Amino acid sequence: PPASSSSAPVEAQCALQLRRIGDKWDLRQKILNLLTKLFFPET
Amino acid sequence: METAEFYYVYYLAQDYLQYVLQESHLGPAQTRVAHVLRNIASSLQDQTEEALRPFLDRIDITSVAVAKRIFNGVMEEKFADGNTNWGRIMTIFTFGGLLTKKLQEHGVQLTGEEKEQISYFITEYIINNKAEWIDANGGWENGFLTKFERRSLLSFSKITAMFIAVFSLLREYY
Repeated sequence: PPASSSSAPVEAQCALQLRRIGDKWDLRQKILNLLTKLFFPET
Repeated sequence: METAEFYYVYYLAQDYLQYVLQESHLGPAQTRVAHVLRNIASSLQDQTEEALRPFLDRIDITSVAVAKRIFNGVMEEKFADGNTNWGRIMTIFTFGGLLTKKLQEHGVQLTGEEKEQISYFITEYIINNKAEWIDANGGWENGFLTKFERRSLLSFSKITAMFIAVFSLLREYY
């Protein structure tokens, strides 16, 4: 498909954004689970 | 022949895409994992769309074949640093959801067959590249659910209040 070479920079940008979103969400969930364990150990 | 693991992930991908496309006939999720995936990934879906639309608007995604090529290119680049975590696994689904929406916006008729093809290439990527990591990290039932399933509504509201406070602090560093 003709879009192949022109889409490479777009793919790189999308990958970067997805990495950032995924890592941030993962960290957020780790903190949330840690807080749950600390403050609500019965759950 | 596809494995049971393949069909497990294939169901998750298919269910999630139907959920993102807000298909009217869609009933409740058939498994706990699919239910949690719908809830968590759809929260991420908005963020994903907001962050990626400016880039994806620059290219024409006019067929499932083009979507597949872009999907594989982006996934390869995303995991090129060698790190994997459940957050990144979630974005595999949200990116698949976004590409599906873009196809729709470009006027591509999304029949059952097209949606199956999209679910298939998402599954193929996960099985070929991330199955080992998923198994080593507890699998969908013990890894993903343990990490993302909300314990109870009561505790969740308390946690959310605390979480907002912590997140506000974190935002200062991003």
